[in-house]
Amino acid sequence: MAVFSGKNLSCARGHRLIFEDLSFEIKNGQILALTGPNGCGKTSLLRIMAGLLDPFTGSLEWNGEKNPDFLAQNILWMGQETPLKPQLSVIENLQFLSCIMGGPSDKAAIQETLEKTGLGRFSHYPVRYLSMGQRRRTLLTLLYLAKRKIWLIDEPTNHLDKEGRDHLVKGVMDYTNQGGMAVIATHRPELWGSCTVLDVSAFDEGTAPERIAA
Amino acid sequence: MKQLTAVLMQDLRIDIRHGGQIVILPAFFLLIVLLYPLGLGADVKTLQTSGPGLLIIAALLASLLPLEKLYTDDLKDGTMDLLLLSQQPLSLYVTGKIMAHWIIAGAPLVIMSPVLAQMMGLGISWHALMLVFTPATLLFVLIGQIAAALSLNAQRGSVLLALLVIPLYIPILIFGAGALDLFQSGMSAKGPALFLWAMLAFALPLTPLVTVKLLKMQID
Repeated sequence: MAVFSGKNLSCARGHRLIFEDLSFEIKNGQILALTGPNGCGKTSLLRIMAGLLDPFTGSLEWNGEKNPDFLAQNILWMGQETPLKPQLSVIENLQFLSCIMGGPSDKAAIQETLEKTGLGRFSHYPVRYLSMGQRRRTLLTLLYLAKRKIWLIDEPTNHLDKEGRDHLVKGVMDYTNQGGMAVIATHRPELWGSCTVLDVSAFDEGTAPERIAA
Repeated sequence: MKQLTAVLMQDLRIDIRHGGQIVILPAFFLLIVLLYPLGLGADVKTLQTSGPGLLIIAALLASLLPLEKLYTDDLKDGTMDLLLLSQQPLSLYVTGKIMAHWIIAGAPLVIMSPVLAQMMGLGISWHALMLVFTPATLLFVLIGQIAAALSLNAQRGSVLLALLVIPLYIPILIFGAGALDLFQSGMSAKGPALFLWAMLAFALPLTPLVTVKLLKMQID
């Protein structure tokens, strides 16, 4: 059983402490939902977890061992941006992204995964003709293609219709049932079943530091 | 290696589909060279004495044009975040970018140089031009892409980029024009030509590493 944890993390953005003394722990098969009002630091915490942002204090651990190199190679980060090139087709974009994330880059494997996310017939469309929701779905396909141990997803339900949302929730559930870990910044923790909820705003500067997340 | 080709192919695909880049740059290069006889007069003697330098200056200006866009898209759309979490070092990505950029923005200038030299009536053989323009355009790309990474988050990045890059291009200009001058007068141009290649040998392994550091600094 692997454990991914963070100890006494604090985050400073532009000379302001956004949160301090935040600790978390997540095991195989668990979903951790980050909640809290806008600006409380959900995205910053996710970026710290991904190693894209250095914490002001504190550290990340894998099985109790400080090992950021290993972490970077086992994390799949999905932020608010859409790293898709509008001039290229869905399948060409995914070939590239899957290749850099260490997934398969042959067209057949990607086409098969696209069928699963309901984008099969759009695979040769240039991304510039897709709606925002379809672009999000394209990125969800990447989650399945890159076989990584930890998914860090920032507000994944934005732009998605009900069908897309159900699909995503099912995908995350299947993934965690197979032993994956997922950390999701969300305003709707009730969507994610029996997840652990961590309210990031509780670690706002000046609040009681003894509150520790599950 | 797989990642390097993926970056290279993606960039070439975008530039070729987008169309513009491939035509605009050679057209710009051609236009600048066409301006000289109009401004200086069509006298063959004048053109022959100032021609070699003018040719390199035109290539320098044409190389400046496409630099700004080099890394901005990948930084803004979040591709850079994923690249940092990739299993491959970022230097492969930078190398792929440089190769694609030279194929689109450098190689056409090299191929056009003999035609333009002929137009200006310069007596320089095409292989002498290749010998000078190949390292010169590669150096323009290698040095320019550092400045592109440096000015990523700046407002009015393109102006800053030109200010940063032009002074660094001066040695390439001096040795490039010097070599072409010597070639034209029929003397041995070994010295300045080899110096260009030596600069290239120095820049080729080092500049991508500098860019990797700069790109990592831009992400937070």
